[in-house]
Amino acid sequence: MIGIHVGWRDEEGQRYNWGISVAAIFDTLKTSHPTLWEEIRSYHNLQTEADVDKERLLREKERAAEEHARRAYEQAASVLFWFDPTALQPYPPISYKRTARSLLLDEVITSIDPSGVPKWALKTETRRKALENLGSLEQMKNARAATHVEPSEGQTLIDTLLSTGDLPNWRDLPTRTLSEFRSVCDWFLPFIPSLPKPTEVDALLALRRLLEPFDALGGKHFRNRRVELEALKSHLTSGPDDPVALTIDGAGGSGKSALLARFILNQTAPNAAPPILLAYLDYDRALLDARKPAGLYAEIKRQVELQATDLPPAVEAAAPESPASLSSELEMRRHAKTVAARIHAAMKSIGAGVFLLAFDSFEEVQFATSENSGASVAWLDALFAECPEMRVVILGRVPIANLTVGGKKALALTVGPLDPAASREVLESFLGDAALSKSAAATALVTAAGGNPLTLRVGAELIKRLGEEKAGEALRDLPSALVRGVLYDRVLERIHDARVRTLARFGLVLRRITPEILRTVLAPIAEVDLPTPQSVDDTFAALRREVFLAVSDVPGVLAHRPELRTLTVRLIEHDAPEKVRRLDAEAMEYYQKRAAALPPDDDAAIQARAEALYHALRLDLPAAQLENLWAPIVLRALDLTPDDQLPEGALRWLKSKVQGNVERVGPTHSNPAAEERNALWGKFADLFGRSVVFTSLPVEVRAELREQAERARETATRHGNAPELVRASLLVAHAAELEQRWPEAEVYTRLAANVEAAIGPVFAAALGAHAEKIAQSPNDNLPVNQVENRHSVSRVLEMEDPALRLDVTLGRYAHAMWHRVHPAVLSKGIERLGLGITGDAELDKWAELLSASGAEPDMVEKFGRGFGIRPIRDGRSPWRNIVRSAVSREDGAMTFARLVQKEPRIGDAVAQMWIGAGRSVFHPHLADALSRTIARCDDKFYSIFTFHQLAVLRPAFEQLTSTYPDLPNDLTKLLPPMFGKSKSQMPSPGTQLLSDLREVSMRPAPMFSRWLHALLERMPPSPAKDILTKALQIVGSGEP
Amino acid sequence: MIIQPGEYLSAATILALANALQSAVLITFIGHGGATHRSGIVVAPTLVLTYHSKDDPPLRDLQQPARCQVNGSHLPKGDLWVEGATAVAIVEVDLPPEETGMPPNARGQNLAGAFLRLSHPMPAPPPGLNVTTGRGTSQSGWVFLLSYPMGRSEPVVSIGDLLGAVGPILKHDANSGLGSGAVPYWTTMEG
Repeated sequence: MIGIHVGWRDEEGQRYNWGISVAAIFDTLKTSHPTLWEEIRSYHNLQTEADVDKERLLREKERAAEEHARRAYEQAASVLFWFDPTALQPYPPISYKRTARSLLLDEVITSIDPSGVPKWALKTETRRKALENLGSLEQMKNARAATHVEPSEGQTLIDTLLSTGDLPNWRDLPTRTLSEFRSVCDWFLPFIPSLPKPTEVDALLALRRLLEPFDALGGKHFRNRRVELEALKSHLTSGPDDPVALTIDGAGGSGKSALLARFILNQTAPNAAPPILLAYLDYDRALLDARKPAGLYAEIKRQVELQATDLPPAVEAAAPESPASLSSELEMRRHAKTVAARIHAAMKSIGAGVFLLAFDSFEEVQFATSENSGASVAWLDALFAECPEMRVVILGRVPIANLTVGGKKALALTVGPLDPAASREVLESFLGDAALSKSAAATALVTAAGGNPLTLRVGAELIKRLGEEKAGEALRDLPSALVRGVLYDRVLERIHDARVRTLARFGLVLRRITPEILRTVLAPIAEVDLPTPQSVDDTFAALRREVFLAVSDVPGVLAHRPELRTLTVRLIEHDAPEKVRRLDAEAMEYYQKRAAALPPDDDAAIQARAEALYHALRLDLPAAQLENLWAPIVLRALDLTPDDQLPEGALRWLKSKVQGNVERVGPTHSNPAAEERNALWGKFADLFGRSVVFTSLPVEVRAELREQAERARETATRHGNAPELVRASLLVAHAAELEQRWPEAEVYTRLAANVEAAIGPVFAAALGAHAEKIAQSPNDNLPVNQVENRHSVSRVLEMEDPALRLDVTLGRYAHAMWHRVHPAVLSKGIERLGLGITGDAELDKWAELLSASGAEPDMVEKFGRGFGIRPIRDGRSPWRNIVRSAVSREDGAMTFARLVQKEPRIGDAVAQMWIGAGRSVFHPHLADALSRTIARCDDKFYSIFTFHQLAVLRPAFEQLTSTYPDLPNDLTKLLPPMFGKSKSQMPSPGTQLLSDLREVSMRPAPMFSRWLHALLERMPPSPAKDILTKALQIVGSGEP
Repeated sequence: MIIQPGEYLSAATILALANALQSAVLITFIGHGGATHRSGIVVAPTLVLTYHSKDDPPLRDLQQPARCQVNGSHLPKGDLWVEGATAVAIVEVDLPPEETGMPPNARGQNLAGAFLRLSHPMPAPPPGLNVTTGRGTSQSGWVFLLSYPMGRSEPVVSIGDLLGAVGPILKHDANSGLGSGAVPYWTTMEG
């Protein structure tokens, strides 16, 4: 539009510029000065009214013809699951100049089948409209007859539906077909009311997915175990006075998991009556932390909700995730109550009489919580108190002694060896060949395996690979303790590629193999040359293929089964002790480096530290060295099994750590040598400097430290060495704290603070650690001088000295003090000192601080200002925690949103917030704030909808990827424009998406889906909109 | 400023802008011992669209023998006007009041569109204007304001947001200066 500018005006105090549209002037000109208008019109060749009318009529006619043709093609496509646009025949038949391909492009999801033929499907909305236009089943059949399509499962469903008018046996459909059936129901339900609702199909699908792993375990190879199954069954139907828990123990590979799997399969079979409600926690597989009841509760709730999808949304506060939040009994009870309410609702929904809670690898729990003798598990008791219908089954490799649940001692069941007849049956099933299972080799195997199903499985593989005769020889005279290891070793020996074979054998020393460790550690020691990245990838792929029975459910990781690995490694150790030792040593070094490169709280870092410690334990390193690798948090990932044959010294050390007895592992010599004392001192000083605060140290160590510190302080004073003086003063103060001599601690802290103020931030880190210690001391009986002490720390923060423009240090201060220091002090500190953020790690620290300090709105704003808008790096967003904390208060969320609005790179910022939000509970405040924010940037949707955010709809996308296997490809096409990047800059979106999907484990909250609905209404038509629409349909919240 | 890195100016917008720049002219009236500047749009080879105030009409007050420049070229005295008695041939176009409610300007003057008739065609006749009959239906978009503020000899472009449209009246916040307040030229993304 063109106009002429006139001037400015004030209107209600607002000044604006204004002008008149030229078109309006010309419109007037037409009647007031027709000759002038004619001059302009003819010069610009503008159309007359008559021309316009004529053209409009023509266009309308053309549009009607096009609409007619499109409708015919849509009707034809509406009864086809997928179609090839080049083969689609319109119904009713028409002839039109444009092809189906050009007419339907905006109405379809496009894909390409493996042979390169385009594969299209109508969008649901279009399809429903087209079906509605067809009107009757008869017409639908006619439309179907118009086009020939290649048979497919989805098409068969539609065809059956059209010919019979119903699909009563849909519950028997295989899982893959079921997801296609879900789509069919979604399309045809308005016309064929006997079809189930998509949510009903969802429920069955969810249940199938929950049970699928059991099918693999307790499926076709399962034999016998009648007594155990019966015991499980009667446990389920036991009375109120009977034990709540049944523990099942057995050696690795004895078939505990298979037994439980079969039992669950039996109980959840379609004809089983009455149905049971189930939750299954596998500590070995899932990223469950036995010490975090909140996480376990959440997982139980998630599984329960999967089985009864018609539950109304739960009314509850956002569940806190940290273990500390369940520390009080009250909190625990509150959580248990919430979970129990969901369990009861789900039981009612599916008509279940009992709730079965099953654990696999329970020793993890025992290990992590040290609740292994005469113990009860508090969160389990709390849950039982709220849910007496619960029955617990616990699997563990070692007997679980004296466990009680609900105050009642658990029943114990041991899975013993199979009897020879059952062994033979199992073997026959593994071999899949009746004749072979009667061979001499098979008989030898049955004897050698001693009734262990895993040994039978490995042996069967050996017979299959070696042939009857050679296997028979191999099975002769095996040492009984090592039989499975020997067999497994021989199975690996049959790998054809010599290089892969070598790597597979030596690889057993490592618990997990990744391409990286393969390249840097394993291949060099195994003397296998992998010169190029491609050769590494290829070899890793070959390993994954060839290493029999390895677990590889995480992409890029091959994890060995401990029962097989540990036994076999002993053989390899015997063959090549030097190489195994080198492998352990280099693996330890590799993992140490890896852990150091990651943020310390990262799961991967903890895992790496655990691996480093594992190899150090295997190497039987001295306690002092083990201590360097130790942190209580590592225990969670250490994941030892009784099969891990660790050296005795290492085991003793580990045991002492687990029992929390530091004194027994300190310097064990009665009269520690000077070097050792010095080493300890050095380590103490070092740890102290790194904010590690000792909570308990042996008396003599404490005395020694204090002496050292005082000596150091005197020396520093004498030499006028200020930094040393700060350090030494703080050490003295700390030593005093350890002995609870508060006045002395206060004096030295103040001294340190004063010196610190004079010399700048050199040892502020240590000061921070000290502050933390003070902050953590019990508040109630906090001596007055300590309160002052805290203030002295605060004063440091308030100083104007530019030398105190701290970077990491300030983060530490804050981190250390967040417990008790008043937010106002921090706020002031930030104002004076700035944020001093140099990297994401600091950002995360601040975020944590913000989260803990109650997110005062003005602080949120300050933080936001300090952060600026940062690009996404490695998918780890510092905004995550900030958002999480900011949104916990309504005003906080709005402040934050306002802040984001002020920022020019708003799209990025919102996207960052989305990512953060997607990974935690999506808070209504944030949804609200964000929708207002986004309302202001309507044409920036694409920068907002990165696939990270799409991944928020995980369940929906899982469904989508199974229904539309080509979705990742489509996303590949979509994502670059969303990022505003070229395709080559993208980190393989398809794979990234899938891994993100795996990572994100939330279901969209109702508020979120409402928000998405609102967003969709405003979104212009686009592929991203279609995907979201579909995702929402599948999520099925049905909210407007 | 609303155009951010990563956002786009469509080719069509840039083309329209280029056309508009070619159509924009600076009109200088010399008389009364001084010069008055106006900007205008060449809408036909000898026709320039501008506006004037009906109450205090600087154009109308110009008496012969006023001189006039268009884009700095002196037009021979007496060459500018064509229609008899009027010093400068002005065709006032009153917009229908019921439709526009065309507000008076900041000084309370009533305004009207005005066409100047040139005695000779412009040396390079302007390319076709993208003058559609569409009214300002869009309430948002970008505004490109072309003007000769302070009588600059080269046109400049300022960019702002379209704040709203009431009938043919368009509100915007593109920068303007003395001289651009006369009659520059502007366009938006939409329409």
